[in-house]
Amino acid sequence: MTPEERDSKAAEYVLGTLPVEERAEVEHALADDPDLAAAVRAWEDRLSPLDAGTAPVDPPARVWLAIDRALGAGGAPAVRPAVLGARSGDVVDLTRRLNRWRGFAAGISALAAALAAFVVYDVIRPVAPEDGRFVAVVNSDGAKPALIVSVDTAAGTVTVRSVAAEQPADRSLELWHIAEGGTPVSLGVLDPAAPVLRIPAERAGPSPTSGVFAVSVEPVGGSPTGGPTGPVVYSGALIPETP
Amino acid sequence: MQEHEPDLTRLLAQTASGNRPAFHQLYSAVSSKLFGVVLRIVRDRAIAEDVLQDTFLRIWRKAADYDPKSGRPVTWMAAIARNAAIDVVRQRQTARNRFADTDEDSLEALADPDADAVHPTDREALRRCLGTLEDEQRTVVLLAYQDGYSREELAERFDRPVGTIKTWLHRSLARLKECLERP
Repeated sequence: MTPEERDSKAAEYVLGTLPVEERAEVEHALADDPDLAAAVRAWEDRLSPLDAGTAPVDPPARVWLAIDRALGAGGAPAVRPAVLGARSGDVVDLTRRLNRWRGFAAGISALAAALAAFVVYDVIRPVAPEDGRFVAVVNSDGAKPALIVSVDTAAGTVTVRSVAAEQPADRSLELWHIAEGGTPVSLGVLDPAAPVLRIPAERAGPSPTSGVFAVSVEPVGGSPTGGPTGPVVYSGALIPETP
Repeated sequence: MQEHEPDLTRLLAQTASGNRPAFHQLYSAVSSKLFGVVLRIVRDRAIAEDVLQDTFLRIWRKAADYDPKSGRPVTWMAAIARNAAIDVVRQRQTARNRFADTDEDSLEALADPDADAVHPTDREALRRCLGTLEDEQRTVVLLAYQDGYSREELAERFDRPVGTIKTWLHRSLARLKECLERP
């Protein structure tokens, strides 16, 4: 693409008049083409004063309520099946995957809890459960633990210790917290080089001490949708450190 | 007017770190503007509400990607809203209910210093440069940007082949750029 072609494409992308396929191409290319991205930003800057020609309209309160609900109790946005702009096939697939994954997570949590009882045996210290420490062993099908997730409500931290998580090549592992009846909230991408990861507990929402932790395989850098998109490889429920 | 800028930048940065109250403040500050922009393009309140919701979920997810060096926060957010709105109307491919066209006040609104928190110099420059275009070529740009017209819809409206509209758009945009870059 010559610089002129690129600029013209960026201009019509911002204007909104590109045919659907070309629009999708530009959208796709933006992430890897800094020149194109810069051209798009420059056109956004040039044309944005036109927004002043449109009168503001107050949206009804239900819009914020819906946003708030979609974000769930915690930090990261929930999977929203009706993601606008996604192709309908993707949406159906994502929803199906999420449902399958939820079933899987529910099934495995009992097993993980049983396993956790062994693992935490050595680190028990008497603390009040409502203001104390909780732990989850995140594993795969009863195999040896991959991660140990500890929640310290007094310190307000979630600590993730990687024991034997297997990192697939060219993929990232992303840790999720799912409150009971809630949608997955991302706690971030696991760093294979860092055996211990500390996360502010508020990112997992007001109740990180219940629910399930799970790890899914995602594109490098984490899920592009805000919800799990790849297979869940590890999962476990949280229990108080003290019985 | 300009003092809103650091506020939005700060709120976006706080949103990026998962601060929900900051995100709510950000919503309160810009949702009316974005809703106006979206509603004008999709022309259906229910769909506009969905698009606005989707826009803010995208802002929440992408807040960490916002770089203050690369543009103003309101421009960044309005672009997300416009893109979401355009995507929806292009996917629906149905003729939209054209109850109102770009009114002739668009250029006037650009001259109104209280119209928005856009830098007055930028606004004045764009107004002046749009004024150098021929009427039809200015109108295609305004209808596309503000009302979300596609090339086909513009062709129908002006009773010209799509190829002609494409030429008009290219010529208008090239001239705008040239005019805006002139010192």
